[in-house]
Amino acid sequence: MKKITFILFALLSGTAFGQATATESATGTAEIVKPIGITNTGSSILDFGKVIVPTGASGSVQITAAAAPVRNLTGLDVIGTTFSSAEFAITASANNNYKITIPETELSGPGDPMPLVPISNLPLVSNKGDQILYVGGTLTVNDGQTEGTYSGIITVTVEYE
Amino acid sequence: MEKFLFLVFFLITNAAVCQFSASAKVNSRATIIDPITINKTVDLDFGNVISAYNPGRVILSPDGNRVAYGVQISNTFPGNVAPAEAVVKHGNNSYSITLPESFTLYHQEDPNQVLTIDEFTVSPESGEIMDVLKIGGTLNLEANQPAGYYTNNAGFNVMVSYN
Repeated sequence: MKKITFILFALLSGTAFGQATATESATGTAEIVKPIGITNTGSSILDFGKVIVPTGASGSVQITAAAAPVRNLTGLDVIGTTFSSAEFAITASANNNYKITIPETELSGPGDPMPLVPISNLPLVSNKGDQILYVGGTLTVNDGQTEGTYSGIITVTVEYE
Repeated sequence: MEKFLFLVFFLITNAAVCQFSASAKVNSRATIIDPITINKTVDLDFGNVISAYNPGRVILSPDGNRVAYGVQISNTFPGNVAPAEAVVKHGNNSYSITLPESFTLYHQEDPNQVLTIDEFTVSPESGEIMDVLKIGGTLNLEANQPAGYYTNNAGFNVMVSYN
């Protein structure tokens, strides 16, 4: 009972000597960052076109990452002039770093899978807000690759850092 | 203090609903095509031709018909008459054909005596993944062309290329 009495006294005395009112100001700030997003604009597709099978050694075909891409050939040939890069629209707040990730993938079809290394027109990390991202790539075609149509999916991820 | 708490609460809730990352997918494709090939199956043969005192020529069409101008051909003894044939494997892709401008045949016993073939013509018999090319031409004879067997084992080139 003595202990309880002492505690109550201490509280009461503390109140008695404390200030009746107190004001403290704190600065509140908030930076509103819009959600980051990415969409494949239109029905764009990374199309390497018609590639003739290399003989004797593997070859590669590269589509540059640009609105008007260029097709570069190494050790093989192509026919026709149909090819394209893929186009994405990134929406993000300016001055906030975000990274762009495009993993390597492969095209599958009637023969062995063909490795595809993507190419981007943007750096791996950017802070320029809304941007257009073009994705090209380098496709390796094996010696004696089986004739046919090959396809695959490229996944592009953008993420605030 | 309440305002401060509200701001803290706002920041927490705002962070909770803000989209931090996003992904999109796109298709990629490539069509792989076998190299175009051409393989000769039949040699070009004008058959027997009777020379004359004047120059002449024999036109052999891709369908195998012969027409002679200034010289004669015998329907009784035509000899072996055949347009050249070659098989082109193209995989249902368009391609172009390049024929030689001319080709020289040499007398088998006297190489100084020659015949010239020019104005090559071609008629493809189309298939889904391969064609048969039938190739004719015009054989030009000089006046009093010496009799004999004329040939050239070097052969003439027919080139096919994807467009």
